[in-house]
Amino acid sequence: MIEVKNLCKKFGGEWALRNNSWSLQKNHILGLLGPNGAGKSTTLKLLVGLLCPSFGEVLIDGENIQTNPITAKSKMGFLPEIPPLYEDLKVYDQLDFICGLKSISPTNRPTQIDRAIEKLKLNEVAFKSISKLSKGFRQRVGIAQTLLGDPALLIFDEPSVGLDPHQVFELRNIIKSLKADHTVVLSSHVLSEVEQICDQVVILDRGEVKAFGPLEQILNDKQGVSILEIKVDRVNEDLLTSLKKLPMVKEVLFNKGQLEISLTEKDVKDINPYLQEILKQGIVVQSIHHRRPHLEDVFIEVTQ
Amino acid sequence: MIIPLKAIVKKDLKDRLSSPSFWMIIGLSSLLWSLFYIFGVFTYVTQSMQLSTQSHSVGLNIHQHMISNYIVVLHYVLVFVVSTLSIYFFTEEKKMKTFSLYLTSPLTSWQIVAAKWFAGASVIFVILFLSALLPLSLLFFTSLPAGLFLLSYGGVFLLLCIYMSVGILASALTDSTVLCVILTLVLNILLLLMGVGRELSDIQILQELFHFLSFDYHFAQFRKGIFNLSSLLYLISWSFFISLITERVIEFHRWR
Repeated sequence: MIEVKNLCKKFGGEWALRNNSWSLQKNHILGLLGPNGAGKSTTLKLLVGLLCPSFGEVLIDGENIQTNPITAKSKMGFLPEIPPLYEDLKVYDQLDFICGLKSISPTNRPTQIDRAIEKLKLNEVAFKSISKLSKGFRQRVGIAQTLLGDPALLIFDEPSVGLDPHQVFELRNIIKSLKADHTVVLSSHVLSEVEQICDQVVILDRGEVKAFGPLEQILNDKQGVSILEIKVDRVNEDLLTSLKKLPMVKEVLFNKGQLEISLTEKDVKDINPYLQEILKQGIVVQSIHHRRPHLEDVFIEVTQ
Repeated sequence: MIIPLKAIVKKDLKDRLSSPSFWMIIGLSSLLWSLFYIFGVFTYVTQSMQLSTQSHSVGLNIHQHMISNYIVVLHYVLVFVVSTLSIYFFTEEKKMKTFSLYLTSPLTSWQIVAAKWFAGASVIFVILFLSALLPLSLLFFTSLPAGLFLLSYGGVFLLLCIYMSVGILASALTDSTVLCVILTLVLNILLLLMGVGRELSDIQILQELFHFLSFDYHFAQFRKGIFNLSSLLYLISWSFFISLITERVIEFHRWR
């Protein structure tokens, strides 16, 4: 559905993006992650044709956004970080205007608008002025306008920024439901959100792709299949070395009084070997927790 | 091609006509052009009365002695009005973050510029219609030379479309509303002063060139009721040329 090939962008003398390549299949959701200044917004602007790449290309359903922008743009809907809305318009009029921009004929508009209103649960505010809407509703109107014209690809820049927890929960469900008919690319700072919504992830750092692939695969490749968290009173170098030598151990980290042992197996039936190694050193074990790795673990590792 | 153009023109026109600030600007400027109109009527009546005392005199031409002068004044007043309204084209959109809607929609830069141009031209049409109500009120008392009247208004419409094109260009160039108005005014005044080159040059060819380039010359043709195709094409080509630069500026937004 979307293919990014060797994408590079230079601002002045500085490279904002370098050789980014990734792709996404239909009906998948991809999360674009990265610390501030990693190149997320630049990537999205390049995807939607707001910027031209210095090198490389972006293909939307096989159409190059640079050489064939009109066809490529007709296959996508874009929601920037601040939804582009006219304060003085009513929700229905805003959607009608967007239909016009997307060359949707006046006869098809009511069906398109009604469907978008239904999907985003905007019925109660459809004839309210946008200036009177809450941030959550504005975000929904922003998403509704991306759905007009049934584009195959939807691109959202930080869709949940500034929303309260209820609104974030609703928005996540909405985005998840869009997967049935659309392919979605979203950028986000909220790693837990990406974990819940996305099938695929691209992690950017200083303009480079540090990790790309299905979420499960990224977690397993980078962090091991599971993590054993053991809270201890202290550690020493000998303990870290001896733990690394134990079977199934991929990596051992010590952070804020906690040992994090990345394991290559999902189900660990016997944790005694690890405990024995710790106790042998006379170290006190305060708590033990076995968990699946989080995206946060990978994110911190690859962007350090 | 036509659907997005219609949507933008409809929305922009609706926005302008429902904006209190627009009507405030029109209200103030109409006060100005009405004063000049009343002054023109008094002058015309006084001159006509003086002439009527001379037995063999011919009556004054109402178009030449009153309406044409009113249209000249109207033109100067509306240069400022059109320059002020320039902020509504792209500068406001950039401020409201809605400019990205145009750039990410399946529209060419030409379609965007053309839509804004037609929206602006529609607003000018409305303003000119309002300004025409005063001279048209004379129809209650006397007849007006319709062809002359329409050609004069056609001339002022074409000129205002050029000033508006400059406004669209300025609003594409800057995000600041104040800078946009100043830039539009400065560029429009420079365009108005183009004919001054004639006075500054001693070389006859240059004098003729500046004379032809000046808007005054072409505007005068329309006011005299002369339908000159070269004047029509000349004024239209200015709007087209400035719109061409605007299209490049919008394209440049992507290449920053």
